[in-house]
Amino acid sequence: MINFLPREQQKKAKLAGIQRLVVTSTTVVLTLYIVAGAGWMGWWAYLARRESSVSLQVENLNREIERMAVKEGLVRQIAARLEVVGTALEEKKISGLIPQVLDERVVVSAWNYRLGGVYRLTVSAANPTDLEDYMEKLQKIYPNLKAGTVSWTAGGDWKVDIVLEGGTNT
Amino acid sequence: MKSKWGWAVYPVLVGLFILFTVKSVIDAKSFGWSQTRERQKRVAEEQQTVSRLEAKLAILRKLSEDEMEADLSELITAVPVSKQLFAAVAQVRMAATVSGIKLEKYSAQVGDIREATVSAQKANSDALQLAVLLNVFDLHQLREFLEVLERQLPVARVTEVEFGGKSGVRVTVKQGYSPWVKSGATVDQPLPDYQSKLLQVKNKLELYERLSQSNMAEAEEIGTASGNLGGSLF
Repeated sequence: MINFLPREQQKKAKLAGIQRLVVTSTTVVLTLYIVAGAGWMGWWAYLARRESSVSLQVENLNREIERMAVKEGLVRQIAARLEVVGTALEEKKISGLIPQVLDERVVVSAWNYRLGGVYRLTVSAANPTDLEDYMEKLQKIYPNLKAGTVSWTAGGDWKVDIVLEGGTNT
Repeated sequence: MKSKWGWAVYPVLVGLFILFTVKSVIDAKSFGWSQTRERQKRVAEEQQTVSRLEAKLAILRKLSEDEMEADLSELITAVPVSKQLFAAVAQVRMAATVSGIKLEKYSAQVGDIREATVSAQKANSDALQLAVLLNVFDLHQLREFLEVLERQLPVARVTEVEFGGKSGVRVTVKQGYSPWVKSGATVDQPLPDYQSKLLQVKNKLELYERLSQSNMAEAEEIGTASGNLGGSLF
């Protein structure tokens, strides 16, 4: 006689095991899913709340800054004008150029200056050596110094036209 | 009676529930993954904006309107917002008086002397030029004249000097000006940091002298009576 009972029981037991495993894993998956979903929802709600509060904060700050528009306008005007004034103050003062050409030994009879260009001098001295020394002194400041013809005037003076350009100390 | 596959309903329902909710999350317009990421990015950006605005507001609160107005007024004295014809004349006259020079003649190329328009733009931006004819004794005296002239506010720039001519010394003085600027800055734009530069410029301006009101009034009186204002340079 063949005994079918244990095989049937075995089959049932195996099926019950599979059922338990499926139900348990489903429950685990569902639990994890619910926890993750709740976390996601919580994060979403937090972000939504944060966004509206930050937007409100930005709005309030903007309003407050707009109330101080006069101050801000003054700041921007000052900053812009500082650039202009700063540049104007840095411009070369030509009164500082005159001492460079003054010398006790010579008489400057002409001094022509043009901003950005060369400037010309007409200088006379009783002694040609003084004139030479004077030009040497000027050449230290203006390496591109150009001297015209030296002439002897009826009054007994030596006269020269000088063209100055650039300058190392201007 | 219990069904043979009754136990399978539970995992199938759970599976369907998960599939349905995941699909909903993906499809949702404000609840989806990418939307949430975008929102997160937006919040971070807005937080940065808040920090910027708070910093700007803190600076603005600290600044005194009266002090700023005084600073701006000082800067405008140095470089005016429009051509200051009588100020330029007064400067030249003052320098001539101090250095003991006789002012023979002056003429100004004025052009447009309107203030800046409402939109803070100026149609004509050329500087005011004043041509002056002086009776100078020597270069020392000319130097003194130029020193006094270059020490006064508004800042004047001497662009041309002709010393040694038969008809006297010709000097061309240029007075710059700068109209109001239209900033067009937005609320969240940070404020320019100008304090250190302001200090430097103020220190430099201390070396300059301002024209007194009496000098200005005198120049205005004389300007209407003599000189050649409004015409071309001689």
